[in-house]
Amino acid sequence: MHIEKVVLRNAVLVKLAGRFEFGTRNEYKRAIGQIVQEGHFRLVLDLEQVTFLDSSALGLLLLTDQNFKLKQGSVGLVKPTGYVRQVLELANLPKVIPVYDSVDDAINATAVV
Amino acid sequence: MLDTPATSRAERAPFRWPKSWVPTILIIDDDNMSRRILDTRLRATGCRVVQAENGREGLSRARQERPDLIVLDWMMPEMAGPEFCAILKADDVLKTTHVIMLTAKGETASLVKAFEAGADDYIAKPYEPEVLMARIAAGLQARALQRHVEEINEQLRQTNARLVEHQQLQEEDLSHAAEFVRAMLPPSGPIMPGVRLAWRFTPSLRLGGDIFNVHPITERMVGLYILDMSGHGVGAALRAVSTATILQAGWGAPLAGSGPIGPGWREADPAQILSHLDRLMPSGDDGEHFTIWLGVWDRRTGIMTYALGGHPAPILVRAGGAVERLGEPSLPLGFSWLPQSGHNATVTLVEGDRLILFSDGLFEAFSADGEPWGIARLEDACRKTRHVSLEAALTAIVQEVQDWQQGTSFRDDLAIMAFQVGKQEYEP
Repeated sequence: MHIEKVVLRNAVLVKLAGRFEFGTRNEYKRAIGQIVQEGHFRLVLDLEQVTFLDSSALGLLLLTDQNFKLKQGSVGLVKPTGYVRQVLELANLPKVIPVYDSVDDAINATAVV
Repeated sequence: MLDTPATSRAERAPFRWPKSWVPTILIIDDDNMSRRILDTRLRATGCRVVQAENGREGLSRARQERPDLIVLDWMMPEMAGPEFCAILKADDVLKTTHVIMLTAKGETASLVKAFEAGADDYIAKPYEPEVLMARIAAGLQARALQRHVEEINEQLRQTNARLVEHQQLQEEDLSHAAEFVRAMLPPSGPIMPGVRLAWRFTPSLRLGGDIFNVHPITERMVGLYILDMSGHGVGAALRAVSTATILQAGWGAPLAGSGPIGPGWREADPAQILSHLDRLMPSGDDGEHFTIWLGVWDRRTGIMTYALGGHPAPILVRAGGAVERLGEPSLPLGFSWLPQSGHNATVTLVEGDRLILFSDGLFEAFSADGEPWGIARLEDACRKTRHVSLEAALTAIVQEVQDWQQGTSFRDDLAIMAFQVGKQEYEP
């Protein structure tokens, strides 16, 4: 999985690409752990380039969301496509973590939370 | 007088190799004087020297002494140089010995023959002693490198043997654990009057996070479930087995006993049980969680009460061919802060109905083009196979998925359990 971090004015944008699964969980945990340590409160996860997402990844997304909520922050997901969107919907995840159609939408929405 | 013990190794340059190594050199020459002169010079450099008068004797000394280098005369009675060399190089133990052949001057043909016989180097007689010493030094340095490589190879061989042994122990451990998990799974066939069961279970690694079971709760009530612990391998299997054990113990507890959820598991409805499991199996740092579908079936009324947490809804194939799904998308369990749906749903099962429980590994099998098999194909396969036996149906379904994957193995754990309602012999 490829992970790219962009620090914006009022959020951190993390673009994930490739397979987000059990075998790549540590890469994700390291990246998010660093962002948390840097003291950011608003996280936007761009999932457009994610081709596969398994239950381990679902668990990590829920955990990240809760960790940000606990410090009055927020997490937004952007543009999950095809299979990934299906997996998220089957797990009812959009009920917990908001899903946006664009990075801009996510940033604007998370900024006012 | 031949040795010069007072001279230290460092002063005996140009020979350079590890101090712990005393090279053994075998001189094979029928000329007594040549042998003795060379012997003296070599001893002075700190080498151990062995002599032989001809090829035949040389061969037996070589086998005894395993020399690091041989200085071999060409012309000798009783086995000349080339013949000796050919035998030496055919010997598995001795063939790597460095051989310097002493040839008569200007004999190009001899030189070619020397190399053909397997000599590593040659020097033409008469030679400058310094030149021969330099050639020997070079030969010994090559030998020192070779010894170093052999030592490393030996170390690697030993390390590898240890790793293989370690791996075997781990494999045995995993096998035992996998057998333990398998032994927890239900029997198949007519497991109780009016109920047939069949299942397939293939963890992607030796151990997986899927588990399912059917438990008689009372004579009238039957509990059944399938659960999928996130992750793979030992960690997921331990959590899955723990959860299965909790359910088994809970449903098996005496009716009057005050179980962990108040009035006892036997009276608890599926949503209550899920809410209890949600608290008992909290997520860790990896976001571990599980999805589950759990039902309690009343054999007298045929009513199945069920609840699910994040699990793909089972497929109910009616005797007439209609297909229903038992459950809506919902959140997985293990995250105490997430709201649980907390509600039960019911469906009435009658004779001939087939309930198929499965984990996502089944319909998330990918084709070579990256397309998942999908729930729609699974529903279709369940409908198509409703007239054949449960076992034959599962075989056909799994085969269809395998064909879809074109022979590649399942990435995820695979679990499917089929529950068929027969004629109910139970009379209230």
